[in-house]
Amino acid sequence: MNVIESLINSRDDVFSGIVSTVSAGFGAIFIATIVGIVAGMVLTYGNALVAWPIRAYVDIVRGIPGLVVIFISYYLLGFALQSLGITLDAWAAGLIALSIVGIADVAEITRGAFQALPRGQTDAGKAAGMKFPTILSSVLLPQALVQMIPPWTNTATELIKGTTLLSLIGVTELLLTANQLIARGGNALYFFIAIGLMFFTINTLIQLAARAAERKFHYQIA
Amino acid sequence: MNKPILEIRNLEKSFGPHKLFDGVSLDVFAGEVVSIIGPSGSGKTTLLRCVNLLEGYEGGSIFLDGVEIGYSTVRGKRRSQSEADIASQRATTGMVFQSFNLFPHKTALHNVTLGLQKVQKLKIEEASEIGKKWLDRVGLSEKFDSFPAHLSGGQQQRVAIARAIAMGPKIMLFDEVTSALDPELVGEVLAVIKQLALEGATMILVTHEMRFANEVSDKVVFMENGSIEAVGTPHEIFGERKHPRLEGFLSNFVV
Repeated sequence: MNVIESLINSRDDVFSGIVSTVSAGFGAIFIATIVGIVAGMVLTYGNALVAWPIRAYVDIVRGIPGLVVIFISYYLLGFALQSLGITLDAWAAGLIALSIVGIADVAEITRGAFQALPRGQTDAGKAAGMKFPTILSSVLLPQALVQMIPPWTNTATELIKGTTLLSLIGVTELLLTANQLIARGGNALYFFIAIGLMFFTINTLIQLAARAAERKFHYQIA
Repeated sequence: MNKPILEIRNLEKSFGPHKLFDGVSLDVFAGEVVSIIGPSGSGKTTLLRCVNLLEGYEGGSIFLDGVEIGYSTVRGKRRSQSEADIASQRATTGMVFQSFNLFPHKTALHNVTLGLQKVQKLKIEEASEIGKKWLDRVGLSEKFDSFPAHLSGGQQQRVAIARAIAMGPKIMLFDEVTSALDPELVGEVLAVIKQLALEGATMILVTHEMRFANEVSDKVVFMENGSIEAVGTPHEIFGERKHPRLEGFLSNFVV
């Protein structure tokens, strides 16, 4: 049986695998980006009392393998929620786990980007009479966001690839779908190449979009 | 000239254990051009940054137009004023930096209008009108929409001057504004400053351009090791050179 034929025959499974991968991956990227940027700004400029727990969170999460975070989310968090009467399905547990990992990364990227901005930018904002929230939103943040694009792209593509780990808690994303189709008699080599190409396509799209954004804004800055 | 527009009284400032200022005082009157000269590390830039409240100081006081800025003393206790008060006080002094510090993500015009919009709360049309007027005045009417990265150092510094003066400050502070420029670009920036001086702007210039200081200043201040060693007219400072260390310092320059 050739791979195209079997992909077409099992198109419903493949499609739901793609949906599962894309929704968990992009969902995690979205949450990680928004929450991570806020967390990173608190890390950089926040009151020590608020910054310290975030610092601890970032250091702990970055020191733990992603797969372990996924298991903790699925088993521990799932168990805890169950006692409250809430059922956490595998996909949601996976989305939470990937977001937790992504937030830590984006927070560090954000902190790095803000700290790399010249001090003169803050001085210039202050000298014009701006208060700190205005300096942050009008002067520092727009510049930091541009600086963040390349490392952010890295995090985003890692999160997309990280969705394959969700197969281990039973999320029928692309990898588990492929494994199931192979178990039903599909050619392993062809299927793995096929899903490899799908991941490659998704990540290439992310990289192209990021590069376009970088070109647009870097053209103005440097 | 009656009451000074800027009064610096017995300023004290330390960096860690190192005491830089131990009672620095200086008056600047409306319309006066004051140049501060002196060797590196003498505290010229720090003094300017204290006036703009970009640096704190532990003792002494600064009055701008008769009002104490930065700190206030309540029942014998010296306290920093609120962030909002300090921000609005900073808005009444115009600072131009050695390294320009333009906002790289904003066009020349938006660099000038940002403070007008965000601090003075002007509408975009009014802010643009003022911004264009000042960019025009510094000779950059062709460059409204250029980003800083596409401007020469001299052009960037002229945008920075327009940005500071567009806010209508009571005093302009120029911190070694030509030190980061290629020699051939220094002239265009000094010409703009000179024009402002001729129009009656009050300003303090920290500078290593001795010839320029001699030409435009009403008063020249020589600082060394955090203290003001000599104050006088350009003639007294550059011509008579009465202070012994002043002579030593100025011998490095062609005036």
